Amino acid sequence: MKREKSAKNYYFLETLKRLEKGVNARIGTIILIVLVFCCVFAPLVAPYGQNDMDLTAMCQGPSLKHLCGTDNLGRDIFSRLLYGGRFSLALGLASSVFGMVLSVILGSIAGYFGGKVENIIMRLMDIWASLPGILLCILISTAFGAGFFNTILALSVSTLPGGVRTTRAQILKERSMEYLEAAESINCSKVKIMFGHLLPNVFSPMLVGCTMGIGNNIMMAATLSYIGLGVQPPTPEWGAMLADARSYILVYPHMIIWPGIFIALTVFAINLLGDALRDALDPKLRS
Amino acid sequence: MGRYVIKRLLTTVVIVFVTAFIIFTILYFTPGEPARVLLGGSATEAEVQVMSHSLGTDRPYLVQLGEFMYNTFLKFDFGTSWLYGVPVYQELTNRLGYTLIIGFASMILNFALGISLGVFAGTHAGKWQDSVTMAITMVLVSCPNFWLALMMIIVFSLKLGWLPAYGINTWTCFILPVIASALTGVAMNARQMRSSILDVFRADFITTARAKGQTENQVVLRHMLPNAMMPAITAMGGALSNVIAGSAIIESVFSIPGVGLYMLNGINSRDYPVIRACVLFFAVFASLAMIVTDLAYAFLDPRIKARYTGGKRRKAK
Repeated sequence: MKREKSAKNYYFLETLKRLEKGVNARIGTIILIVLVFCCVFAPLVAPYGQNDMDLTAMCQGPSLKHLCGTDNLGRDIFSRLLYGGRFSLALGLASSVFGMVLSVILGSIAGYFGGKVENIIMRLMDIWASLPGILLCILISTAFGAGFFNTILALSVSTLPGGVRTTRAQILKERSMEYLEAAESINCSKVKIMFGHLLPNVFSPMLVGCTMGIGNNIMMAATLSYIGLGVQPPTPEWGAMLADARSYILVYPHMIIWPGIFIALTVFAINLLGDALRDALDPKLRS
Repeated sequence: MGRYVIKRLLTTVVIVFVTAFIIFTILYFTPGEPARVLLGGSATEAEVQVMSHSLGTDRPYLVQLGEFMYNTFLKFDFGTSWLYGVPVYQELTNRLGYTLIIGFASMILNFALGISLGVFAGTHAGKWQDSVTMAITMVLVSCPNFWLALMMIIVFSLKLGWLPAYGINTWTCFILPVIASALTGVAMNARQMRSSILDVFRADFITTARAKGQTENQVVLRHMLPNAMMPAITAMGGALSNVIAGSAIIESVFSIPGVGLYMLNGINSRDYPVIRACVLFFAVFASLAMIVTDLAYAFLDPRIKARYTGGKRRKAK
């Protein structure tokens, strides 16, 4: 038991070491840490409150007093971006994790039990996947209504088919391994085999998928908010801020530029990290 | 081959049926009475009831579902828009052109640019050209495409004044939407293409081709490209249906009266016949795109093609 644990630790440490070597991973991590720190401690970092209006300073361009300028109600855009990052990051993270948990459960049930259960789950996923992801998001948001939690639900459910397929493929690959035969021969229960033996081995591809999913979901959430189906203004979620600023694009383009840059920067950092993580966890590249 | 096509078409029919069922059910159980939304906040209870009755939304679920399925699949009648009273079918055919033009044009751009960028980066792997291309594509992948569209409006319409920011009056109006809906795909395609070029770069047949004394261009175009194209072709169907389904966003940025914007308007005003018809259109389109992709894949990949045409070709040679 102890040996098993140290082996796991070794695996983890090795992955970390390989991650640390890459320049991309470092850049991604630094950007992410700074962003997450600033957003989590927004009340300490942000110069103004998220809804503080200064009616004498409306629609100003960037200046020393207001780093990213102010919006149509005289609110400081930089502060709102930091507060909004909490919503955007939480949306991305929560929907990605929730989606992954759901797809791991469904995928491993399909992959491990096989037969009728597998058929039903996979055919359902086929139908689900035949609709493009963005359309699914729009539909689910329409059905449940706009809002923070409904957006999480919409995003995680729309990423389900891909996740279920990957998990199932991984499980099928692992199912023929000898260690499973051994576990079955010592009369392990199915639940224990599934969660205790199979899942840890399919963990790494799911982790990469989940990391990449966060970035994707942040973008998708912003898109949903932009067309009015996600988080609603005046919540300073980045997409909602873009939706707010849309009517001022002709006169005050700076209101549109900054939220987009924050989204792009976050997703960029997450993609860098995800790519590096995929390479670090890839057994083929392991020396 | 014929059996395969028929099987795929049958699956598509099932998928479209189930989609119709799902979309109807989702909308039916969506909280809030459509009649109340249509009439506005000041409507009295009696007015709402009359409206519900005339729309037919006060009947039981199964009756409505049956009627919807019957009208859609047997009479090909999508009903009339609750808000404007215009037949949905007519409106849809009017708008279809814009969405398809933008979708296909951006697809062509996506492929031409994505593949050439990917090949360029892949054949220069490790050099600065590769790093620059990959950095640019990484940034493009990270930007939401509607924001890129807004940025392009700011730069090309407001600052430079080259292209119109919205509308469909001249052909120049289509340039920005096409580029905007293609950019993310171009970046993804280029990254995909680069990695598949790298996969075949060290393959034996490439070494053979070089040993035969072919020029580098010939090696790339005739030997590397056809082999590295497969993943790009697989991604094509998904990319096309994503562009068409994502048209809602690009169309709302550029105010283009296409199917996507029609659906969004329908959603905002709870115009159920409109939403159902648009979603069905997207679903049918996505499934057809998938079939065409799979067939193209089977047709282009000699390994798969050989499985269907059997040994005939080999004998003829």
